[in-house]
Amino acid sequence: MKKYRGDGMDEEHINRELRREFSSLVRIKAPGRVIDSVYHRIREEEGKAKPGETRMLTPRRIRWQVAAAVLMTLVVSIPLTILLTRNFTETAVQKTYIVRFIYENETAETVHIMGDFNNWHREGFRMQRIEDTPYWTAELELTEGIYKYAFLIDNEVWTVDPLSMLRVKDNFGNENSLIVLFDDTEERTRL
Amino acid sequence: MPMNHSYSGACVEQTGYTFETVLNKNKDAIFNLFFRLTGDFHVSEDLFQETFLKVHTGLRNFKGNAKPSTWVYTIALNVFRDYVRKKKWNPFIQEITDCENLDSRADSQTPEEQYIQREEKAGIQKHVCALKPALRVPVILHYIEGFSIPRICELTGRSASDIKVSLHRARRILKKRMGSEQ
Repeated sequence: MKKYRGDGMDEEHINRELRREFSSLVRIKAPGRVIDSVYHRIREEEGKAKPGETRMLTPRRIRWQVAAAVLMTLVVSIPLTILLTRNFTETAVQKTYIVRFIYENETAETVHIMGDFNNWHREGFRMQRIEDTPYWTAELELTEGIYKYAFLIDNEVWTVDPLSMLRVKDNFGNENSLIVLFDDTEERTRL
Repeated sequence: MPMNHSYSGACVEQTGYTFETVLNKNKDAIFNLFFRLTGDFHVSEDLFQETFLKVHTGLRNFKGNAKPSTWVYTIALNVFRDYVRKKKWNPFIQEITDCENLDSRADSQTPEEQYIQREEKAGIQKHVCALKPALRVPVILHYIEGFSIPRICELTGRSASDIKVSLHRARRILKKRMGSEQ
């Protein structure tokens, strides 16, 4: 092998000398065993996952993913649905109240109760007199809300409920009693 | 001698190249390239296998934009680059830069291969192996494979000026080291 002294040589000279050195190197051929190994490894790789098998496996994997997604949706949505439905049911079904109206009039022949709850029709809303007393009574099943009402004495005279302090005037200037059916306590708790 | 393989897979529909053709045309050049880059038969064998596995996988998508040999060389250089990168971070991969291990694992080699390695150990190969990979690759492609600078640029993806500078530095280093052996 040629030895170099170094500093005195120019670039081109070094280049030529290197070419000469490199040209003396033999070209190494690929050993047969390496070629065999390449083919062996290719067969191994293909044995692990052939393209056809991959195509068969891929949809199955997707199917499992879809199944997992559906399962997760059900797990989340069922309790949520139950919860929302229960709340909706609770709010949708209005409470009903049995309200007993009492009116005192000793001389009246008939007393009717009329109001928003019966669109101010007297039929079917005649109050009953408690025997041997001046008290007239009627029991109505009303849903929660605010109602105006009044008593009709002997089909002629209107009067407000003297036992109720809540009164409002209607569009004609007549005074009516007011009843509020509202569970205040429960509403506060809910809020 | 290579075995007679009946393997006929990986035929490329677009270009008509078969894996066997590409392998047979490039096997010696690629193995020689790896041996000159690493100075180690065993490492060269591993990198060679890795390269042609990638060739086999990629041949289906090879569109024939470049010559098959250019394409194979590019893959081989990428494999070597990955190897160097792994070696840098993995202390269990044997260091090869000083070529001290040229015949350290000669048990599975043929007598001819052992002889070649012993001879190379004392020659210019030792100094080439001592170069940094960034300098080693242009030197081997230029002086051993005989590639022009534009071809080296094409294969490595580096600029012409970068290759010229690398060759200049490599020449200076080789000159200095070979001169100091006197």
